[in-house]
Amino acid sequence: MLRNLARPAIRTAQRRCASTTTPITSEIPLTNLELRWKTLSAQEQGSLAKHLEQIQAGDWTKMTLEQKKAAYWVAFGPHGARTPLTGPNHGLKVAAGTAGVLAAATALFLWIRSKGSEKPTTTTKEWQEASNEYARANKINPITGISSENYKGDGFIHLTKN
Amino acid sequence: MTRFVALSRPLAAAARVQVTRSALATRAAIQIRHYSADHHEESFEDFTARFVKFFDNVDDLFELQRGLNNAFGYDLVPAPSVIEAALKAARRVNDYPTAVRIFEGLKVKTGSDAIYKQYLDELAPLRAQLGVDTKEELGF
Repeated sequence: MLRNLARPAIRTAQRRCASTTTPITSEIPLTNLELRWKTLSAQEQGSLAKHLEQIQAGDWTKMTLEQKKAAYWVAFGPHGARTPLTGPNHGLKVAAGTAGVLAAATALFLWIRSKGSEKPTTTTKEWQEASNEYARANKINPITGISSENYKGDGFIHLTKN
Repeated sequence: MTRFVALSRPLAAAARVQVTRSALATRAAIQIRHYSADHHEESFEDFTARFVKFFDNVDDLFELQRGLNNAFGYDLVPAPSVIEAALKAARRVNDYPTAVRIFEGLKVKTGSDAIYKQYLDELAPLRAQLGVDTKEELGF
């Protein structure tokens, strides 16, 4: 009878032993996994994931915060397919690049304008009147245009407002 | 009189045939119309029952994550019983990160801190029993 009583106790004790002696000892420490994950080889990453799987098979309430963090980070951390498409300060970089391109375009525009003269010579009143005289002297457009009889129009004079 | 009856009988029979034919025709038309209109709206209770049943039967990680994607894909927040079933499924397949992820999804789906907190309070016993932390409690 004593043996019968003792047997289940032994069994549970054995089971306890088995679960506590499962490889909790890890070759790779779990601290700062976020920073070190990239430096690990694929094999080390695999063995680490396996190790964490074994830990998760046990009681979750007995997992340390470090183990929980590592398990979560390996599964859903920003690495592999979950690497973010944009790095840090991405918005700032885009804004700076856009501002740079706009500044270059403005500088180019201003430089070209500074090299050019203010107005073409053909826009002056004198030039256009001389054009009219030349057209009449050479009888340009004699039927309906500037050299015709009773012509009322301005001919080549079309000054802009300034 | 007898002559009239004799005359009217075939007429009546013909009319009856006509009537049954037209009835058949309308029924056939209704059947044809109905075959594409037989989708009923799933109620929230039906949804809950369906997903609780689904998560109770899950025994691998892929199925669990597929089910979570589906459950969180609707325009509603799954009932706490669904979340409980999902958490138990995560425990069954020994995947701690997915259990954490469930609360992450819940936070997104509830959209308000007040409702999220109500869910956390409701699920607190199971969370303590399983040892599931939220992403924030893990420090991410």
